Amino acid sequence: MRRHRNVRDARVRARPEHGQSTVELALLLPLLAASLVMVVQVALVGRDEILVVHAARDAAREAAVTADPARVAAAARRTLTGARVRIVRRGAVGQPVEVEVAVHRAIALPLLGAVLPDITLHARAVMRVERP
Amino acid sequence: MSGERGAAERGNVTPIVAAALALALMLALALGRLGGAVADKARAETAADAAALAAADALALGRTPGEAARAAAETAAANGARLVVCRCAGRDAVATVARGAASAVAHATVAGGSAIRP
Repeated sequence: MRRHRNVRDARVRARPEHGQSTVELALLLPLLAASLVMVVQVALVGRDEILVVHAARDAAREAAVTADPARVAAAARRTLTGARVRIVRRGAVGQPVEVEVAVHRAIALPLLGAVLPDITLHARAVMRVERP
Repeated sequence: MSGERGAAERGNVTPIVAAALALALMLALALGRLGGAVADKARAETAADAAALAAADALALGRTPGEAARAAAETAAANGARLVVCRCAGRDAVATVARGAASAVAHATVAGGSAIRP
């Protein structure tokens, strides 16, 4: 009987520390997960930043040989889906054509994503208009 | 005995998580820098591409090498880059451009009366 109570007393005394690391981990795990998602987000934005430059080049190369905006937009979207294309200016043969490509991306972070503004990535490219 | 176990389990997760967060932050910064550098290189390549094609197009229209080099320089400048050298004569245009810390070389050639990338 006495021995039994001693065991219980020991448990009660141990309670404040028992499982402490589990509680800490449970509290910090969302933070850890969010930071990993952040790394992935940075990588995705970096990838889009590179792709939008390539899309602008492809659009400008198409715009150098055609005045059709649909074909220019299609050339950009082959490289980057969801790209919006604007032909800034297009001169005669031998003159420059300037194309701007923009892509809109929402930040897919939990909680922070709702607060952080969506980002739009831009790229411009200028090429000389050739004979079609 | 239970005291020993308590000491072993108490507060040993926070430093590990802090280290993991710092690592994640460093990784994110490194990825950002890498992406920026690759994007800068891509912009330099765009300028080189445009400059070489402009020079080849000028050559295709029967312009002199000097006029081809001027077309290349104008197109490179329009893309925010500087034409370093243009070996533009005959049927070939090789343009080297610099844009910030990045530089790029592009080759275009004249075929069938128009400029193409070989």
